[in-house]
Amino acid sequence: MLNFSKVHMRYDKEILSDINITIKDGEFVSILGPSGCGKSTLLRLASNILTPSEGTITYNDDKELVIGFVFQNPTLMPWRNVIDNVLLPIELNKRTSSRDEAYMWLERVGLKGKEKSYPNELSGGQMMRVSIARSLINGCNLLLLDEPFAALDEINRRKLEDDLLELWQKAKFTVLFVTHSVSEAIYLSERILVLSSSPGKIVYEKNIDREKLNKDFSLNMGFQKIGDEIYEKLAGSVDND
Amino acid sequence: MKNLLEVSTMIKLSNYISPIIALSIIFLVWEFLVKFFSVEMYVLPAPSDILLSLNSNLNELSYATIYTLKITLIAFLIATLIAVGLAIIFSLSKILEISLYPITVIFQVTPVVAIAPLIIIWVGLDNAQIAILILSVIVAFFPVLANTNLGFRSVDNNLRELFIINRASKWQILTKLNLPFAIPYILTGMKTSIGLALIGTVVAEFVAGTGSSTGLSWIIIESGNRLDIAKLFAALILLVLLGVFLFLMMSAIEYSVLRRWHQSTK
Repeated sequence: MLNFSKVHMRYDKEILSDINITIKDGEFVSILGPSGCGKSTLLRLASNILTPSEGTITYNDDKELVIGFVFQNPTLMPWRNVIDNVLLPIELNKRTSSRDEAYMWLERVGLKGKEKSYPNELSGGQMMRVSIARSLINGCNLLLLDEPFAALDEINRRKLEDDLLELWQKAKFTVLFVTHSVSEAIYLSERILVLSSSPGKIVYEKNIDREKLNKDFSLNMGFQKIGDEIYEKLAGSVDND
Repeated sequence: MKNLLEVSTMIKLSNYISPIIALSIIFLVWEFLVKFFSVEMYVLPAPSDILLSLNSNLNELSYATIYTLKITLIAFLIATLIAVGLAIIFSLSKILEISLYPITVIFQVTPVVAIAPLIIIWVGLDNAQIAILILSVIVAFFPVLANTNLGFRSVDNNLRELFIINRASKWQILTKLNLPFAIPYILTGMKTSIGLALIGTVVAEFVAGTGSSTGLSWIIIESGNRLDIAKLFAALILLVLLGVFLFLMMSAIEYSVLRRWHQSTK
């Protein structure tokens, strides 16, 4: 369980204010909010890269916390080929692992045959798939994604969203997903949190009942209704600023 | 499409042929003017005289070229090792960077001829070779240091965060992130540095050279004193060719290292 309790974050001014979130193990939570509202800062706090100015962030789990992070850009190392990029977390944690594991992850993200390619030989979507495989190879139990599909075209984005959902449903790691896109958040998440702008505060929370989902969920009226509701809150959070 | 390909091939060929034609014309005009105006050999020898001198002094000039090349390469390697080493130290300790970087700038901005007498006194008159080597290293190390430093500072912030999230040690960040990331920067520095190492060797030999050092610049000094200007030109041409060779060698190394993954080679 990931728990934010009365978290504040300040640089020159307050970025995040009084953040209280509890995320259950295996839950898929999306954070929505306008640009500059502190969404990425929230992820960096969850990943321990940053320490909050006030409040606490705790992880209650029997297992050791292993974090996977997917950035907005694929953030691959251009001097390493695909397989060596995927193997990086294993190398850094000095875990003994065969390359077969990396091959398996590449196959699961649809990049079989691209193992020896260099990042500059891949498309944007393929690079993002490498980035996802890299974040999962360590057997992460908390996956943090910072607008990972923002730069992709509609078709590639939808494919990657489906693949991410499939991977999550199989492995059931906890996901904290930052996005600008209301429809993407609804399509992927079990719960959506809306942040207001500057300082970022949670102004709205919406549970999505995934049990009711079916394959054409995104086309039904329920989707539209939830979208309108969240959009209204999101627009309000900007206007209130 | 075929026409476009032919045009592009012709442009590529003309890139090599044009300078050769231009140089040939310059040499022909030079030859003609020297012969036409009967210019004295000790003022300006004709290209054909320079070639004859090159041929007749081939052994001495080859030995001098190898000597200058050897000193240049050793100085270049030492300069590169010192510069990358210093940049690593600077990247690990801010206080050391603040303290030592200005000193390296002092070395860079001080003309080598001004410190040559000091170096010669310190290493002793009998050790001209070592004095030349030290002076050449001083001239050559700064571009590698400045570029490596820039490379370390330019490391992608997200990549750095990824390493921190994966609990990478300082050593892992250095060897698996900072150094590989800085490779294109280091190579750019080395490309500038290798030319400076040659210049440093030549200038240092002019200042610190004695009969015991037998590089190309010593031959230039000696030929000048004896008014053997054809031999002087022959040594000068070899020096130019040496500079071009070193630059091409570094460019080839840079290309082979970056070929697969860096945008600059596309």
